[in-house]
Amino acid sequence: MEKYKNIKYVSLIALGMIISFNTAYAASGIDDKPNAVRPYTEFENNFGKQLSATAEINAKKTEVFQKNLLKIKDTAKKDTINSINDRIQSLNKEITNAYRLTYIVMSQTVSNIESRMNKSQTSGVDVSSVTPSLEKAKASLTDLSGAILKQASNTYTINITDVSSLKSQTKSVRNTLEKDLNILKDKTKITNDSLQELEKSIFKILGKETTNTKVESTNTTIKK
Amino acid sequence: MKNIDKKTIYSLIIIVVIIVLAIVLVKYYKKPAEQKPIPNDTVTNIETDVSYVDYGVNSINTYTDNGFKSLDADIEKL
Repeated sequence: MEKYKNIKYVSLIALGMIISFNTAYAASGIDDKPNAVRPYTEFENNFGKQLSATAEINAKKTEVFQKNLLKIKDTAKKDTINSINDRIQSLNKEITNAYRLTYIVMSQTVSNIESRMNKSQTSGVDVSSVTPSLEKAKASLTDLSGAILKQASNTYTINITDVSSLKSQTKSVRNTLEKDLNILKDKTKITNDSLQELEKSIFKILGKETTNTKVESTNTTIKK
Repeated sequence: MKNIDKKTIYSLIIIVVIIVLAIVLVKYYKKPAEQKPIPNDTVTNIETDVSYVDYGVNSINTYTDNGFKSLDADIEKL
């Protein structure tokens, strides 16, 4: 039994080592599952900041609008102009948000395609023919993200100077909104086209043909 | 306390030292800077994603057109 007299000390040290290194290993994250790359994180942060800044400006402009609204004596007209002003603002907010969501899906899709491309390259496939399409899609995405952030900074409030020019002032704000949203529409179309071109080129080198599956658009309501 | 011999004390001291070292290791350990790749299952649905984007773009256009039509009707009331 003499040779086993130190066993309790050895056991204590061994136990301490096991606990310590288990703690260190778990906290190191070595065994974590791989996280998906989120290429739009920075965009989302900037979008959130932009929305907060715009909300402050919008609140001040709405305050001025409400004061100017008192110039209109006709209650029905007052209600209509108030409702139009609200709807112009919510239309801008909803449509900009819809473009934001589309950008996110596009951005993730390009990231997925790039990942697949890298995987193919590792397997020895020549992916050089895809690189121009990929760069083009990335460039159009960058352009689109800038346009969405700019649109998020835009505010639209009807400037009530006098009752006689009410209609023309309202039309002017409406037209400005349409013009601004058309910029997003065009840039989104360019990005969408480049995405489809990229899809075709990556599938070509992977030996897979696109089935051109299109999801038909219907009169979809975008929820607030 | 009289029952605790020197070896037990040394063992406890060694354990404390090991724990401190482990804590220091955890605190200063840095994960590799590069992002880990997307799991394969998210990479395989490119075609669906592209179709979905196309659907989303068309839906926005329809929604925008309807929104402006409705707005114009109200503007005419002024």
